[in-house]
Amino acid sequence: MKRYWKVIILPIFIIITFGVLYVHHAIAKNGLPEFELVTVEGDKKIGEQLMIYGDYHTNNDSMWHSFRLTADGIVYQRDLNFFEQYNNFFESNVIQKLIEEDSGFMRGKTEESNLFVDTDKQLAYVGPDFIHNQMEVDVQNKESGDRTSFRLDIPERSKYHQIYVEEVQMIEDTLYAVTINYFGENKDVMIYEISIDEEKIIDHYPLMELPFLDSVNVLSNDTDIGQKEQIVVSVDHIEVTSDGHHLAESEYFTYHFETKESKPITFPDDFTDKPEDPFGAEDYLSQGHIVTGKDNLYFINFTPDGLTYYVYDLVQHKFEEEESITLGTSVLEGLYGIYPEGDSLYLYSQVNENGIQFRKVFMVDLVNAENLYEGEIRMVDGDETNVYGLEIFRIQER
Amino acid sequence: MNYIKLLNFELSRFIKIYFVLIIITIISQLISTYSVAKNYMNQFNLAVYRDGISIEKYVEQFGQVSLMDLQHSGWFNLPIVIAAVTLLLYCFFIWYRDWLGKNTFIYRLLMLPTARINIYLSKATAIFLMVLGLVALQVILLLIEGKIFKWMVPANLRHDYSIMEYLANTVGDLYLGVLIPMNFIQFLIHYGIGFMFVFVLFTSILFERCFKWKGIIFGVVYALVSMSIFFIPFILEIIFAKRYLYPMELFVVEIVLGLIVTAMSIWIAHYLLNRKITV
Amino acid sequence: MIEVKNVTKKYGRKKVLQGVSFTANKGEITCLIGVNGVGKTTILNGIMNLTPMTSGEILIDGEKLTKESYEKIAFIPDAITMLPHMKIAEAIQFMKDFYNSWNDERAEELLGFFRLKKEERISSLSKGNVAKVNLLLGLALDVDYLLMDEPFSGIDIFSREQIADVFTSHLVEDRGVVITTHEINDIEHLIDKVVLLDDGTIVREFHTEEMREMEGKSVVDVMREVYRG
Repeated sequence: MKRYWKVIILPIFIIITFGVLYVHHAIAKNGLPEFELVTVEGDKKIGEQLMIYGDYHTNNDSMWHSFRLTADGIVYQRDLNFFEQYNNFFESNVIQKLIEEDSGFMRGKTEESNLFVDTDKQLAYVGPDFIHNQMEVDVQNKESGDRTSFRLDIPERSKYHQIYVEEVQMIEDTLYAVTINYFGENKDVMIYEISIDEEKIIDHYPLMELPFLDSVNVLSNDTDIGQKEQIVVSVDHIEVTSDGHHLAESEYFTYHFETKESKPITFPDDFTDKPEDPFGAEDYLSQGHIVTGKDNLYFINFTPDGLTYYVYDLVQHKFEEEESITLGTSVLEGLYGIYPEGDSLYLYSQVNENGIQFRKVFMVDLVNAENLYEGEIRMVDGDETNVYGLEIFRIQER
Repeated sequence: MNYIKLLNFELSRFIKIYFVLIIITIISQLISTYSVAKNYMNQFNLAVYRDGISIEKYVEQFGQVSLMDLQHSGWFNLPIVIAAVTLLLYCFFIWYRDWLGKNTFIYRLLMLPTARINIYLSKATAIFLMVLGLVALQVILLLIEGKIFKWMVPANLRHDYSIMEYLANTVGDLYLGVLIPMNFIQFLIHYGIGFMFVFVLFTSILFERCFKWKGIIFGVVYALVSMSIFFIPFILEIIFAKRYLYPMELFVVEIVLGLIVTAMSIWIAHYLLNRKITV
Repeated sequence: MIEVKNVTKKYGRKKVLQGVSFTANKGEITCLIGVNGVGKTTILNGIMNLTPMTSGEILIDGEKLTKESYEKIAFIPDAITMLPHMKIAEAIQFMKDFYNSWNDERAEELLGFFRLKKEERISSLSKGNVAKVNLLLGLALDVDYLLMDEPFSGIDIFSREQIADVFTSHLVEDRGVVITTHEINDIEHLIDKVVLLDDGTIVREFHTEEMREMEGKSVVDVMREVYRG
């Protein structure tokens, strides 16, 4: 037996060391504090519906711990077991729900919510097929479960070196794919009309042609893949001077798929606080923000103690009165991030009052210009004198 | 039982070099820890007592000392590199040493009244145990190094990490994040893949030993085929520019493919050792 | 009985053995004779499954070689198969660990017979003593068959005599021995059967006694006939 000490000692040493390391780690889960969201003002139910993503870190520590905070408590990514970690911790809720509902349909699809449209009866997807240089279409009847899948050759494909699908919509049995097609020094914003019955592109036309540098966006709400008749497009015209890139002009318009009508959004004369030059702004909160609601667009600017915004009615195609919401100077001074969701806006601010930091979450209703909710993220049984940081990077409804 | 005897024998054959590696690692890392703590305290003393900087200011400017500071120390990393390179080379040498000389030890091994695959398995196990043994030593050393900081540096000047906290911060670190994963399943995955590679390498070496010059080609081809099988979901993903499998499915598929590659390597080794091996 | 049936061995295009067939019986000493490089060692390696044969069949007591066969047949190559840094005692321990057929008493007897000290390291032994240890490691196994490859090559005269003495002793008695050599002088009187090899084939196979009685020729006489034409 004595001769076999190596075969005995080495495995025992390994098993004990790693056993203690991992078992201890699993049992201890020490160090990371519990947090809770406490309602300060407003409907408690709003707080219960929230999901807050963020990172916790202590001062003088390079360690960041991602977490997910809900009314059920805080979950640190670190403490999830391997299999839970394997599923994306930060997966977009919309996509996650679609996968849970029908993983077969979602298989192999590009996981971007703007490529999907969910009418009450059908779920449709138009995505790029980079291998065949085609568009891939998949439509599922939600009741019968029948699927129509086909690939489409893109007209004049050879003209373009890259095509990206920006937005997909569906009206009756026609799919509308909005794409940005790059060629040479320019790009086309294209609309492709796809007949689901005929499985072919029945019409295509450019919405506009832009220089390569200009930035074009289809404004949409990432969490809403419902049916819409029109889209809002923003274009930033960029001008190049000797000292760099500058925003020359921003332009906004709506486009209605059926009428094929573009309507420019013209700002009222007194609308001075237009969104600022993204290349010039010092930080993103001092810029203007555009939030896409269900039937409205909100052009938001921050003031020293709150926010003011213009509402553009997408149905009536007109601007309404300027609105404002007051949150307080200290809230704005500590404002860390804003997180739009539909016609609501969530805000996170590290409010400093008499040298004590409060971590506050607000929800404002942009339709009624009301501050609906104020909550505070508090350490449970914590030593609040301990210096730590909470970075929030997403707040959304559960 | 013959497998255990062979394993013991394989361990014995490397044990001297192994102890040297262990001693180098211990000495080098302890020196590193001592000097990092010492340097920090020297600088601190100079700044605070000679230049009159306040303690708070010093900490603010230069930070606290912690296990993290070891990462940039050559004395800390060098033994890890030496051990890794030594064990990697030994993966080859563990086979080729038996063919060295004129009439050689491979005669004895092949003529043992035991299944020849035991030779292969015992050599593989020896490598696994020696790798894991050194990594376990590193875990223990990190604990000791933390203690050394506690002895040498006052609490307000140092930041104490538990091993897991330390590892969480070294995720991007080439050595430790890979060697000591944060959770047990990850550990199984890292070492599962590592040992699969060892099996593939061993079988490739046996191809060379069986077919000499032609065997080098067979061995390389075998390694490429094995890797293609293991990475096939990723290869398909690149070819079709599509992620067809969901993460959990991919994980299961990879486990199955890893097991297939490992089983295939062992089975082919079994065949080669019984039918094709030559002294 | 060891049966080698129509064995061929090719290295690439080069044929080392071509249709080699012979048998070696228990209780007999069979000697494979041929100049160097004629394939004698390859035959022994083939019998022990240490190198694959291109074609043909090798049977031991009517069966193919398995791992259990190594308890029944031992091979003593022309150099020691233990690690040089091992002590004789360690080499013996190694054999004892793995072979049920290891006979400790016989090992002790051989140690005495060869005047070897257990504590000595193999690397510190003279060539002759290394050969003796090598022989010991094979002879101390209770096996039915013993294969020896050039047991006398490069060894001093006294060691040769000692080794030759083994063949007439009870240490070999009853076993089937296959021995290869390219110089017959030391053992001519010991061997029962001769297989003469040339160019990868068997040119003559005979029993020494019959040859002496029937044709009045010694092994060396036959060798002269065969190799000098």
